[in-house]
Amino acid sequence: MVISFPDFKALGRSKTIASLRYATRSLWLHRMRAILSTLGVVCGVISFVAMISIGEGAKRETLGQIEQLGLRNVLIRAMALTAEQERNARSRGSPGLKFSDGERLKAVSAEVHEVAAVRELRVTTLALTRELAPQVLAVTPNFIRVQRLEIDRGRFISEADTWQRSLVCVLGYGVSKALGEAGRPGGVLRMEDALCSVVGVLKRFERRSSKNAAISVRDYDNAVMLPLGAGAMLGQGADDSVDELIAEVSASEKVLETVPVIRRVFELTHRGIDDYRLVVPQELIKQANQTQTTFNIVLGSIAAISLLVGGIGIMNIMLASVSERTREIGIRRAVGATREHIVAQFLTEAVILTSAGGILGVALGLAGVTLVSALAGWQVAVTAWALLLPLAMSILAGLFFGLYPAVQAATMDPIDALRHE
Amino acid sequence: MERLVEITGLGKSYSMTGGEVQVLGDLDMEVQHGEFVSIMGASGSGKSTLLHILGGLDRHTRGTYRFAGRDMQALSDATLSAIRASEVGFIFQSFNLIPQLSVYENVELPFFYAPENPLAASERIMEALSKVGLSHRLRHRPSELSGGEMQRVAIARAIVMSPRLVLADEPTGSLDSVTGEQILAILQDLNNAGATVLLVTHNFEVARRARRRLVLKDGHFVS
Repeated sequence: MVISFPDFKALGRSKTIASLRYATRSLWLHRMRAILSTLGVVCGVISFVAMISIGEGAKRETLGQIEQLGLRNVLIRAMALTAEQERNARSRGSPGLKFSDGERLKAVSAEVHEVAAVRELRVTTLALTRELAPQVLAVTPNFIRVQRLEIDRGRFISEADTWQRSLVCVLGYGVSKALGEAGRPGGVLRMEDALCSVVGVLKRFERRSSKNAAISVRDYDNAVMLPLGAGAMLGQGADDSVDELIAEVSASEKVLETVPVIRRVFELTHRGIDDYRLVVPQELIKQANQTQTTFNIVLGSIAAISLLVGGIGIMNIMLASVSERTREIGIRRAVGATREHIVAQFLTEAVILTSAGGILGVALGLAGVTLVSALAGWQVAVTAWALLLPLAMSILAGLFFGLYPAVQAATMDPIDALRHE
Repeated sequence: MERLVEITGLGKSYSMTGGEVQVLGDLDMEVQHGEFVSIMGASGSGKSTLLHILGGLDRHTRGTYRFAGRDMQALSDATLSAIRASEVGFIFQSFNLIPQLSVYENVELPFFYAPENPLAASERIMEALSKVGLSHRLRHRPSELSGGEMQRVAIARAIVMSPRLVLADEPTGSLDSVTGEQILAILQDLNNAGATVLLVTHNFEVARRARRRLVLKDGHFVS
């Protein structure tokens, strides 16, 4: 039988392929040991993938929510007071959050160029055909701009509607869809005992708020908006109390310097009574980033420690391998291997081990993250970074932890190595 | 004839806890291209150490050693490795094959370390294996071979790069007399084909196969 072999014209390339093949074969000889030794790296990489994906998901969710509040905005929300606090507020002359607070703010601060007001109405909304329970908001006309909402059909509430106290309403996309014909401009909606004309429908709103978020964004898809003065027509009191003021600052980089001014204005007008709360989305982002950094450092440290332990395992197994293959090292040196060849050989084996651990870890990490996302409902974001970084780290771990055993092998005296039994 | 090996006043000592131990002392020797030289000596006479120095696997501590005109003491580890890969072939008593590699791969090994990539590596491997009569056992592992076959693989590995010098350290030491005879015949054939062979042994019968015999005793050549 004649066995023919390929002519290695490109021996340089085939040398690399053959080195990888021989390294894999050497590892395969002790496969159980090799698999066990990579488990540490696998665990380290799983934790890295999970940390980055879950952390990034949480970050995106938080930032998305905060951004929906508006990065140029400062929110002033009315706080519910206890009976005692209310008495105290009255005695000190704080009127609670009023529409006029916004007007004053605009007058005092040049940077605050728009203030939208929101009043949450507790009214029952009845369509002509079915009952709905949307959130009913009485808002100023500028609310649509300040909250970056968009009109799908018809128009938004106008200044004229506000002053005339017209009973007109703008529906959220979901409400309009649920109401069918009645939910389109020209339709009529029954609220308490009054009839309200639908003048517009909002575009679909991708609400990025989860149920357990600290700062929730209203679900505008399920909202009905009326002019601010309409509350009085629906028996909700005729004063100018509001539940929220949204102050829009001229530029996002001026928000943080304007906040102290706003705070001071409110301290003065509310006589030091905490019947309002300032929400600054930009500060929230800062806090969220700080929390995220802490979270990343803690999880990153855990992942790094697992990778370190994994790397030490690899070093241990490589030292054992060098010791067992002392004679082979001598033989290779005798047939022409330089010290660098020996270093490269053992480093290749270490990197193959850790890379295999890295690939397995990335696969298991992805599966784990998908499972966590499905079972716990957490938002996860698997980025290329989340996959490539742990892989690169595992390769680096192979190089780092494989170096000492490889150098040990390369610096052996070839004659002693050849005599080794 | 051209001088291949030239040693003058060559010595080798080791520093040990009890003081310096001299293994080789003041050796002078020349080997011409195409010679078959045997160095005979008892165990511990320093013959293996001399062989390792001649092959560039070890360094001498005194005197000079010129291989093909180059001062071996002045060469770097990388250059000595390159010489071992392509200009010297070692044959050991205990065969020294890598167990996880096949016959073909063991013979292929020097190609990985040779500084230049010779073309037609596979042809040369096949040629070397057919010279030792093993071209039919390419895929076998060393553990599947007899002692004589393993030594023949080792010879194929030693000659595959067509080295200037083949160094054999007790090549028949682990073999029965019949197989040992076959191995010596192969070495003889190699020499007849032009290879320079230097063989060290403690066995007179083996040593007498060479055209020139040297005797080493306590680190010195004796007449």
